[in-house]
Amino acid sequence: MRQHSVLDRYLGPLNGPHTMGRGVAFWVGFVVVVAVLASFPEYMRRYDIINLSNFLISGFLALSLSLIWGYCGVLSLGQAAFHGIGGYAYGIVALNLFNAHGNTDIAFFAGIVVPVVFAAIIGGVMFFARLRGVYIAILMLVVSLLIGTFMRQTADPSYTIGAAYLGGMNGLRPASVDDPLLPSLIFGLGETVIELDGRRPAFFYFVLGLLVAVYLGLRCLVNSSYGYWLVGCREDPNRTETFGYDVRLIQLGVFCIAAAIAGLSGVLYTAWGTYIHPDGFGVAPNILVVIWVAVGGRKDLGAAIAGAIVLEWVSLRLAAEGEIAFLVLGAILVGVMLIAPNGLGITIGDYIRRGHDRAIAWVRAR
Amino acid sequence: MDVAADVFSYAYQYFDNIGFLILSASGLIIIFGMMGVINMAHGELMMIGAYITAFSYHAGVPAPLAIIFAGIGAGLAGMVLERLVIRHFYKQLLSSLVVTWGLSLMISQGFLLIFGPTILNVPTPFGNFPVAEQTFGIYRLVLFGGALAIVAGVWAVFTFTKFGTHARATMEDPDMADALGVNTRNIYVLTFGIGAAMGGVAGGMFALTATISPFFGINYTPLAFITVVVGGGANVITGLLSSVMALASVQTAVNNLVNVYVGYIAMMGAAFFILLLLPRGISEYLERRKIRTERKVSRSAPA
Amino acid sequence: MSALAEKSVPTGVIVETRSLSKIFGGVRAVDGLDLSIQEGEIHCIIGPNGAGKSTLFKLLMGIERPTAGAIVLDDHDITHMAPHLRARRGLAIKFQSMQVYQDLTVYQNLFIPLRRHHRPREIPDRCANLLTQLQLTDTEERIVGDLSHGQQQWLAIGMSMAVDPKVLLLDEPTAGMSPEETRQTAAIVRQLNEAGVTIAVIEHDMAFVRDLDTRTTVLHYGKVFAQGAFADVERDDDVHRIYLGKI
Repeated sequence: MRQHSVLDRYLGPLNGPHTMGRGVAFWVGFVVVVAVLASFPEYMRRYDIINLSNFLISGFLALSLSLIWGYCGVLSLGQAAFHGIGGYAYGIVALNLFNAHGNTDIAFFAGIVVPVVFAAIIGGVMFFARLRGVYIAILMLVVSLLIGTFMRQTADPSYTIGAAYLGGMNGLRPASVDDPLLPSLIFGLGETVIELDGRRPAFFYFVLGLLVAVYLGLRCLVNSSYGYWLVGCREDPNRTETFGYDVRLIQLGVFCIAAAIAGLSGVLYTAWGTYIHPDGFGVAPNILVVIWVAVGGRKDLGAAIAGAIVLEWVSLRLAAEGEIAFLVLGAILVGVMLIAPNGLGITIGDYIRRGHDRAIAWVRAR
Repeated sequence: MDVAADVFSYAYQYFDNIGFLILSASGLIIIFGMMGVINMAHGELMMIGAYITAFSYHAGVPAPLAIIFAGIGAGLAGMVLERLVIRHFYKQLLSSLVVTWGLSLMISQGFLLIFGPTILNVPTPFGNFPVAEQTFGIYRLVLFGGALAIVAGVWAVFTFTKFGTHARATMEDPDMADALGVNTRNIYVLTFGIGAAMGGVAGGMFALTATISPFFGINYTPLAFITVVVGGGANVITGLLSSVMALASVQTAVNNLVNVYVGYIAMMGAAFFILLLLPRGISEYLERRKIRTERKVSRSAPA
Repeated sequence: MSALAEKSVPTGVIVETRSLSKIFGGVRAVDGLDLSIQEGEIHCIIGPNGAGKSTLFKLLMGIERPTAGAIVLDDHDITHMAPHLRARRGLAIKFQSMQVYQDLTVYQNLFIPLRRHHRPREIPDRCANLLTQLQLTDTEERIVGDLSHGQQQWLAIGMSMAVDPKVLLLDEPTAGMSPEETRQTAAIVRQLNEAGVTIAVIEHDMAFVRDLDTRTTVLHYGKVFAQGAFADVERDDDVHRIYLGKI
């Protein structure tokens, strides 16, 4: 358990057995990556920055699935449902309160709280009924598809909530011409108003900063005692229970945290494009999240984010080549599951760590 | 007379729903119920069957033969998938779930690339018959009959044939079966192939009533899975039948009372509650009751 | 020695089953069982295969629900309590199957149970102490799956000990061990008992039970068949008969 003392003092809670990378080299690399990302708006085209913002938003969704699947062993094939619910909640509240408040503060929080409440209800039933893991996985997909089917048939004008009209296939929109359009993020703190337009660099910086914060926060979480409990539930829930831990509560707790993060990604996504529509509940977005996390590496938060960003970039590139994106992504998923079942990110990380250890041993031997 | 027609209409819909669920789930009961592998690409195997049927039919092959082709094609496809991918994921439930979902994406997108999003149609045979004011399709009844025939066929194969005995022994205890000289590798391939072929036949039969597109399969997989899970693995056949009867009655009732969408939700809800009460499925419960009654009978009999 | 003798004097019943029954599909695995475990003792439970020994432990821990009867721990009825609540009342178990987290390190394996009653900063020391007791010193960073079978068994016992239980249930702690490892296991069990833990052990290995030489219950068809000091039980002809000469 030898550690670098300075790193240990400041980064102690961030480091631990449940995340890859803990030495000087890793943290220097981390700072460099964030700095490079942050410098992109200086020289990249605006179009690329807008896309990159979206990729970072996907990073949140990947974090949320990595947390429940990779750390707690609860796979959900319908994680995008929480993303969609968060997005709709943000949009509906924002449409209703924007004229009165001039900001989206409450909408922002609603987009996080509503998915958590939903997760608490459905997760409470599933976990306390001790449903088997596979059933939970499929059931969450069914839930997502059902919400999507419902949302798709809300084109009838009667489906309005105050100033928000659900709009069926066309997505959420204002109920009448007098109502405001779906706004981007606008934070109001007293007199100060901070507007974050999805097409501007400020929004990109905000998303990047938030992603780094959530990543570091989750790193602290999974390396705390709670992280050990999560891993215990993943490895052997029955055994963990015999130590006096309420496995159902641990699972429910992490399910809700994951829902909050997925909801946050939905909020950011809706604010980014100022639209949200029922396709977000379909098979495609749900399978994408699983692909990012499985290919990147479900058992490491950073690997999951990297998987999301890289594969989103690959999809965008492939989209230019016609409709082969999903075929290639499916092939990548199957290939990675066969060759590197823990995910590419983790396999590469292991190689780097082993090389690093060997280099240090070599230097010592001299 | 109206009441009689309504009763007939309900019964017709009920059996239609039963047939639909049995056909959707019939291949999956082999693959999930017996092998314990979750195949999220099952709907895509059905889709392959549907395409084969449609193309054969339009090439002049009679419909029954086209459906048999569908079974053969999907069965072969299933065996290839088993050998290449799925065999690496036995005993890893969640991973098999993810990897087969990847396969389903590849198959449906591959079909989309090759055949485009065009919708195929095959005319529904046999026409209609009237009862009171309403008309009913005859083919729906054929589907129901076909579903029962498939279940009976599966039962016969796994009960009476040497392959069936070996297969059941392998699923029970692969190492023991291996030691007894059963070629477990072939058993796995063949069992998976039979499951896939049944999916293909079901897809082929649905091809005559449904529109066929590369996304044909997506609607079936969760439904088939839930039917099988509610049935449980203790006795695959009674499980399937009891589960289908329970789910179809909920669906039929709510369909008529509200609408099809709510009927679908109600069916999912019913499946959910059955699983909460009987986490190992209906058949496990039935088996337990059976043993209990047998015990009582044997105990009350004079020693 | 006198302190030891004092501890091994029973001071009262800590675990008791009252007419406990468990029926599996018509088979009475446990059949109206009345069994009491005294506080501070090591209680060996032996019996032929299918006597209901493991089922009894699962019922005690709450992994299986009894068909009838009651379980009392420390004067509290725990019959309908969830396993984790029983654990919080001082019950710990090591099942027959290997009960370790195979893919984690030894330190991680012990951290999880130790965290029940200890603050994170105390855990490294606690962990080192336990490992010394279990003769697993300096294995903290090793992946458990790479340890020998006997070491994994000891770790599993250590994990159950880490929650500071009042009563420890050990289901075949010496399964698959060499005679030397079995002897060491007996020493570990005795040491734990001297530290004040009541221990119930299911064992097939008669050398091990003879080595412990304590109160022994013979289960047969889910009922108490014989009970008493091991030496007496061993001499009993009826016990020999049900074991078909297995002793």
